[in-house]
Amino acid sequence: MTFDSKKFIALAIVLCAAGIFSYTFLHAAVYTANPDDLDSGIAPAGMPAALLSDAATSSAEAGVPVRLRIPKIGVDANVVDVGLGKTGNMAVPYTFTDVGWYRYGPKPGQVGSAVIDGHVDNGLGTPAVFINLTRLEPGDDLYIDTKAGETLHFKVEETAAYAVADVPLQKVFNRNDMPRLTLITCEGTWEPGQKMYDERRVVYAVLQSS
Amino acid sequence: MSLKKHIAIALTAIGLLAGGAVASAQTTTDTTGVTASTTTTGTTATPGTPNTGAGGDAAANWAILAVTGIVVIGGVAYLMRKPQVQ
Repeated sequence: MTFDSKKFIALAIVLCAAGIFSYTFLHAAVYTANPDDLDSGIAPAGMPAALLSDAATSSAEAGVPVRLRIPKIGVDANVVDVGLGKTGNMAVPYTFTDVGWYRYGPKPGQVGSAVIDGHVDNGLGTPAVFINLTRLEPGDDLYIDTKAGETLHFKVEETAAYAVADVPLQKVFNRNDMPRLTLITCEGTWEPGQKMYDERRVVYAVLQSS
Repeated sequence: MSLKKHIAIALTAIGLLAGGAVASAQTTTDTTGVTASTTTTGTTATPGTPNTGAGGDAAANWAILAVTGIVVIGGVAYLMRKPQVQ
């Protein structure tokens, strides 16, 4: 092996290592979510066409949420709209600093459960936007800023932790008695085989005034 | 070949293998039991539970960053060194 060919091989190895380093860093530290959990663009099955059309254009409407503020735990986060992941689960935001509003459900302030999810940590173990969601208690204040410049005030009504399989999806997504806001994040123990935590923290809040 | 070069090659091989394994694992399709119902109740379709954490992979990711970082630094140092005069 000549000296030049050794250097060529060394350069190739360095470039490969740099590529793996960059991919791992970006994936783990910046783009937190598993690709299957990101918005797939798949519409929910059985949803009326009119509502699908409304959801598809909702990000351009004035009433959509743009910011979530939770003073007690220091959250002041950008809100992005999300749909479904490839597995049919509610999709999650691309980054660990944003939160995701489920665009196929009600907007905050409308009658029904507006649902917002957020990461608890990223792939390097860095605390994410909802790391302190467990500290919320009934009576705590949540605020949503909308694209129209309106601020909606919600108060926490209840918080609960559930095993993943036991999350009451109808309660989380489909209570249509009053304007509600539901926050959800991960909790519990990491399941390496499933690459997820085994519990979910859910915070239920109701609209106070706008 | 010197001992240093043997070590450098071994580190490089470990870095590439480990990096490839993690990169592959991170793009594996999630086939867990958290399936979505996506049924329609009232006017809202109900999705499944979101997966909002990734911290369990932190140790593996940090290991990959450390190993590949060492490989890059060591490799650059190797490439930058001046040939020794015999």
